[in-house]
Amino acid sequence: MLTILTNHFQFILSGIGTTVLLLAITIVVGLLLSMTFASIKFYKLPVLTQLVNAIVFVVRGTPFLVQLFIIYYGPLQFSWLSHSWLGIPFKSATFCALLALILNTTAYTSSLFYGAMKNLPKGEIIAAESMGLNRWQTLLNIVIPRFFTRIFPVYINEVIMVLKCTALVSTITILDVMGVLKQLMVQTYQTIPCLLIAGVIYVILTVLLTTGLKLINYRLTR
Amino acid sequence: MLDGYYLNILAASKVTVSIALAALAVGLVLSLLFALAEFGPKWIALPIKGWGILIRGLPEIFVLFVCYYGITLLLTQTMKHFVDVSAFQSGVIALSLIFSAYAAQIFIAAFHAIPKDELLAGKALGLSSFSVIFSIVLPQLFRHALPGLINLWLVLLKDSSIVSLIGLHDIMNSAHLAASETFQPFNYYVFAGAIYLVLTYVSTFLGNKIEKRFAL
Repeated sequence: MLTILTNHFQFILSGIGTTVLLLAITIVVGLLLSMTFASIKFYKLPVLTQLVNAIVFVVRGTPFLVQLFIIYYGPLQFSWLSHSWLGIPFKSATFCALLALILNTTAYTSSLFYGAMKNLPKGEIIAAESMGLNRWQTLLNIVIPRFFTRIFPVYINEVIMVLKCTALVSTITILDVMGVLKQLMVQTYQTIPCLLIAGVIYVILTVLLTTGLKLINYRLTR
Repeated sequence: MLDGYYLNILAASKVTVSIALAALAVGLVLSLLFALAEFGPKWIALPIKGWGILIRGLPEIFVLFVCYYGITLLLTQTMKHFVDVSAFQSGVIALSLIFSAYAAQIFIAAFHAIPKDELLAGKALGLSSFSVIFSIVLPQLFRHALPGLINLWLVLLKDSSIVSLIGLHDIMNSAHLAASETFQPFNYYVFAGAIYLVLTYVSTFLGNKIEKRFAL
């Protein structure tokens, strides 16, 4: 196990980098997109609401693997798509993985956000207005802090879910932690040590993530 | 429209459903044991708690690979002759381990939802602790746990698609086969997705019915 670690240290490190990068981009973009989705549902915009509902229904009802494969392999079937400039991003596995991950996390978190938006205490907003705060001040000082303190404990779980989903993108040739260790498994014939390394890395990542996020949560709710 | 490949994928849904059901059955038993263990003495509760946290923190695909490659290798090394653990068996083991790690938490929460007075009342009426468990605790436990368990069943059904990666011929695997033979990946993966959508939709529908039937 140690020889694999020392011989392929950089390779494994690059895998960790890929996983963390995928996770970070997915979380940031997913957060913005699910806020948008939730707002669309909250303000009941016509057409868009139905669209969001349909996306959420389909994404939540199918496995992540299916979404990933449809996005990665699907466009290949249509030659007009793969020969035009539209098909260029779909040739990159990283782009497809990010698209699938973002779509998946957005579908799950947007319902979460929507629920929290619906349950915002109306009285506090009215109280803030009666104290003479304008709309922006109310939003920044009352609504958003309230919203995030409510969301955060549940959102931590969602981040861990995304981390676990990123392990699946190794199936479309991306060399994340799982992909790297799968390749090493084939190269070195040392199955169990490689799996152990992958497991230890994932455990460390989850522990770091949860403790970090719980610290932020503690700061938020204090 | 339904040529051979579509029918193949449709037929493969039997494998998906059966592995999910098998994992559900094993997982329910395991999760009850895990939940029970967390109420036990410290030396047994702590390791079980750690095990649950470990499984909930690891990617599903990792757990599956450990079960598929690890169990075969370990058994072969300890028994001194080749022991074959089939893809189906290791899939059921992995999925039930994942399921039970989450379901145990649901059972623990459900147990806390049962008023303690009822247990005392049962004892006061002279019931043995065995019949207190079977006629007071367990029926309520399942009712409180049902909504969470139905959610977990949906997660399990979708997670079961990863067993295609270890070569089990489920919906995903047969869609992959069809896609690579016909160069029509979009059609077949969308079809596979549609089957999963129907399965989850039917599950939610039945789940709601069961929930209503057993509602407190």
